[in-house]
Amino acid sequence: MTDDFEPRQALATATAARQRLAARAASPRWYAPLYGLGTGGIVASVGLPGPWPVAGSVVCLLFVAALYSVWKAKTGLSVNGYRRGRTLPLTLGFLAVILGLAFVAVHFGRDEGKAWVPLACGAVAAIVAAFASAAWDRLWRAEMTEQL
Amino acid sequence: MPPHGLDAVIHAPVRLQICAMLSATDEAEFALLRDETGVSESVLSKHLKQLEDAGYVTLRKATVASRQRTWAGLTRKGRAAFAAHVEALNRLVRSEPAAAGVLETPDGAPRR
Repeated sequence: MTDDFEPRQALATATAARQRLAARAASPRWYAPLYGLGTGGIVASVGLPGPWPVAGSVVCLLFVAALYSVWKAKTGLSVNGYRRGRTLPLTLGFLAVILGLAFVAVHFGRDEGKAWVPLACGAVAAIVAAFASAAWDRLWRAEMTEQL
Repeated sequence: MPPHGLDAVIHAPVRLQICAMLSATDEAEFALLRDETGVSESVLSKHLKQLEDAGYVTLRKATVASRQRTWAGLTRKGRAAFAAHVEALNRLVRSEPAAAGVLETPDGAPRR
C-alpha cells in the first residue's frame, strides 16, 4: 500500500488522540474535595500536640495515596504531579503555600501551645489544596487539548 | 535518518497515537491504549513491541486486585523522538507544497 502522506492529517491524528485522553482523564467531582481533606489533615496533624503529628500524618498520607490509586485505576493513567509544563508553577506555588501553613501550624501549635492555629491552618490548607487540585486537573487537560 | 526528519518508528498512525497519548502522561494502561486507538490487543502489542525495541517505550506489569495490568510509558528517548517527529511534521505543514511528494512505504515508514 502506498498512500499520500499528509503531515497535517498526522498532526490532527496525534492531537485528536491527546484530546480523547483529556476527556477521559477528567477527575471525578469528589476527587478535589477529598484531596483537600487529606492535605488539610496532614497540615493540621503536624501542628497538634501528643501523638497527632505522627498518627494523623500517616493516616492522611495513606488516605491521599489511596485516593490517587483509585483515580489511577479509574482512568488507567498515571501522572507525576511534578511534571514539566503548565502545571509546574502551580505545583511549586501550592507546595510553598502548604509548607508555609505547616510551618505556621508547628510554630504556633507545638511551640506556643495554641491548638486552634494548626486546626485553622489545616482548614485553609484543605481549601487551597481542593482548589489547586481542580486547577491542576484543568491545566493538565487544557495542555493535552492544544494543537501539536 | 528518514526523510524530512520524520521518525520511521513513530510514523505509523497507531504508533503516532500511542506516543501522542503517552507524551501527555507518565504511564497509560494497555486497555486504555487499546480502546483509544481502536485496534485489537494483538495489534496493539505488536506496535508497543516495536516502540519498546526502539527504546521509546517501557512496559511494566502490575497486579492490582488479583488482576494483572500492563502499563506503558514513554522513555526520555521516546519523548525526545516524539517531540522531534512533531516538529518535523510542523515543518512539513509550514512548507506544504514541498511535502506533497512524501509517501508511505508498505511497512509504514515515510519516504519521498
